[in-house]
Amino acid sequence: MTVSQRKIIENIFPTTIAAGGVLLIITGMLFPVFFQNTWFNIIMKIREAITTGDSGHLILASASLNCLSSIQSTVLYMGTILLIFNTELSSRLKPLDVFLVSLVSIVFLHWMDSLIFEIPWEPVSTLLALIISLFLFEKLFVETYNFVQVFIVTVQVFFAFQWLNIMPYFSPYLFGRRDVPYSVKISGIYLNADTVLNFTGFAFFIPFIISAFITATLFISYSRNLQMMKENHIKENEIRDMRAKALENRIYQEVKSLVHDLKTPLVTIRGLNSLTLSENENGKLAEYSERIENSVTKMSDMISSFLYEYSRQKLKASDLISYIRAQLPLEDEKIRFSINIEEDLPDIYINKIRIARAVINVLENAIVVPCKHSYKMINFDMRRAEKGINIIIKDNGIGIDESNLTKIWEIGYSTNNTSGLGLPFAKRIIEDNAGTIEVVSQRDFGTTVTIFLPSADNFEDYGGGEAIENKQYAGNCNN
Amino acid sequence: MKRNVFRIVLIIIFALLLVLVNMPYTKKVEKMVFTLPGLPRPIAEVPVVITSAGQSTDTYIINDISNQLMIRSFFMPQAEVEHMEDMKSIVFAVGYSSLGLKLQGISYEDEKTRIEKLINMAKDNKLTIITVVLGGEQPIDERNEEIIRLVGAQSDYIIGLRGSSNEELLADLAENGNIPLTLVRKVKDISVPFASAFR
Repeated sequence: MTVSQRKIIENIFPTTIAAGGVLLIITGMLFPVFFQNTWFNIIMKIREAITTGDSGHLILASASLNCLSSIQSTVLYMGTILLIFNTELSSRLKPLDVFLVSLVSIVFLHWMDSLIFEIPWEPVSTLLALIISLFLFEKLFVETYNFVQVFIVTVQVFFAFQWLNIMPYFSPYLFGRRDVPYSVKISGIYLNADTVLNFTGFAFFIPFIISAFITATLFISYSRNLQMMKENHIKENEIRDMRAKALENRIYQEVKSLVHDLKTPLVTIRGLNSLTLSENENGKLAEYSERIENSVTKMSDMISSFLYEYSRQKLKASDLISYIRAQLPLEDEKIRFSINIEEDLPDIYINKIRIARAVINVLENAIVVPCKHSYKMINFDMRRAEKGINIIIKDNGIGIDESNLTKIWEIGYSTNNTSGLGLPFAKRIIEDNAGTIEVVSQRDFGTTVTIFLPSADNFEDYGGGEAIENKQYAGNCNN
Repeated sequence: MKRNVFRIVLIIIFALLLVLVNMPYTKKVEKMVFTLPGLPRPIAEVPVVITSAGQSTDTYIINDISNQLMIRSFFMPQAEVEHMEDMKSIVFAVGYSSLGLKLQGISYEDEKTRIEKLINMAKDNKLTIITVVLGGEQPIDERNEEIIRLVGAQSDYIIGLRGSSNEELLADLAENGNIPLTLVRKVKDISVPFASAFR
C-alpha cells in the first residue's frame, strides 16, 4: 500500500469504512439466507430440464447459480478488502503478505459460510477469481482510490470464473464439483448438451474476463486523466496568481513614481508661499498663506506615507479618528453612524495615512453591504484594549456565510461586485503596523470587524520593529 | 516491474500446480473390478418405486430413463413406507444434496431414517432393491458415502459410473455383499443395465 493510498484511506472516515466492511461481510455470509428461494429455483430448473429434455433450462439455472455465487463472493471480497485496507495491518505488512492475508481471509469466510448454511461453494474457481481480483485491485485502487470501481471490476471477474464450473470440459480440473454445478453438468451430459454447456461457459467466461481487464484499464486511464486535469488546473491558478501579483506590483511602482513626481510642484508651492508670507506678514493674505502651508504639509505627509510605507509616527487615537471622519462619505440618509470613542486612549505608532485607508476600506464594506432592515446601522467604536486599542466596526447587513469567511481574505473575492481588494489590503496594512484584524459574521444578523493596534509603548512587543526591519531588508534586496 | 513479473510467475505456477496435482483427479482403483454389462436375467418386478436417497436431481434422470424404457414405475423422491403398498421393487437414486434436502424441508437425519425404514420394509416384504449412483466427479463426501453404504449394502443390484470417485466403494460393497455390479461409462448407458433388471 502506497503512502498516498494510506492517506486517502485514513482521511475518508475510517470508522465508516470499517463499519461498511463488517456490514458487507455479514451480508455476504447471510447471502444464502436472503436468496434461499433463488437457490431452490435453480434446482427446480434442473429438474425441469431433465423432465422436458430442454437444455435451455440448464443454461438459465447456470446463469442464476453464477449470478448468486459471484455476487456473494464479491460482497465478501469487498467487505474483507475494506477491513484489511482500513487497519494497520495493511501498512505493517508487505504487499505480497497483504495479498496472501486477503486471499486466506476470503477463502476462510467462504468455507465458514458453506459449513454454517450448507450452501455449496467452488474453491478452485473462487480461488482463481480471487487471485485475479486481488491483482487487479492492486493496480486499480492505487490509481483510483474508488471502491465502487473495484466492485464493478471484481464482480465481472467472479462471474466469468463461475461459468467454468458448469463446463463438463473443466471437470477434470476440479471445477464444478459441488452438488448444484455437478447436477447441471450431469443433466447436460444426460441430455447430450455437454457441448452446449462447454460453449456457453466459454461464451460467458472469455468476454467477461476480457471486459474486467478492459474496464480496469479504462478506470485507471480515466483516473490518470482526471489527476492530470486537476494538476493542470492548479498550475493554471498558480500562473494566474503570479501574473496578477506581477501586474499589481507594476501598477504600484507606477503610482509610486507618479506620487513622487507630485513632490516637485509641492516644493515650488511651498517656496512661493513662504515668499508670499514673508512679503505680507499681516492681513488676510498671511492667513491664506498659512492655510496653504498647512495643506502643503498635510499633502507632503500623505505623499511621504505613501512613498515610505514603513514610516510611522506616534499620534493620538483621536487624531486618527478625526482623519478618518474627514474622509468618510456620510451623505446617505439610510445609513446611521454611531461613533463611540473611549476617553484617555493610549497613543499609537502607525503609518496614519495607510491605517486610515485600511479602516476606511472596512467602513466602506459596511456601507455597501446589502441590508434587510429599513436603515443601515453602523457602530464605530474605539476602545482601550490590553496593550493597545480596538477599533470595532459593526453593521446590521446580511452578513457572510461561515463557509465563505475564510475566502474574504483572498484577493478578488467579493460578494458586492467590488474589486475584492479592500479586505486583503486592509489586513496587509494592519499587520504591517503590528496589528490584527478579525471578522465575526452571522448570516442575516450582520458582521463585526475588530482591528487591534498596539499602543506606541508596546509596539516593539508585537514585533513591530522586527517587521519593519524585515520588510525594509526585503525591499532593499528587491531594489 | 520486477515485482509484477514475480506475481505473474507466481500465478502461473499456482495454476499449473493446480492442474498437475489434480490430473488424474481420482485415485485409481487398484484392484480388478469385474462388472456385468447387464443382468443375465431379470431380478425385479413391476410396479417399481423410484425414490431418492439424498435428494439430488439424479433421481429425475433415473425416472426419465424408466419412462423411456416404459417400465411401470411410480416416481416418489420422498417415498415413505405407506406408499409402498402393492409395490414389487424399489430403485434408490443415490446422491446427497444439501440444497435438495433444504428444498424438501428435511434434515439429513430425517432422510437417513426414511431410507432405513424403506430398506427394512423392502427386506421384510422381499422387495427388490436396485441402487443407482450417478455421482462421480464430486469429491467423496462423508454423507454421500454414508448413504451409499446404507443403501448399497442392502441392494440386489448396483449400477454406477466407471472412473468415478465412488468406484472403489461400490466395488467393495458388491464384493462383500456378493451383489451384481455394473459400471457404465456414461450416464446415458445406464439404460441397458437398468432395463436388464426388469426384462
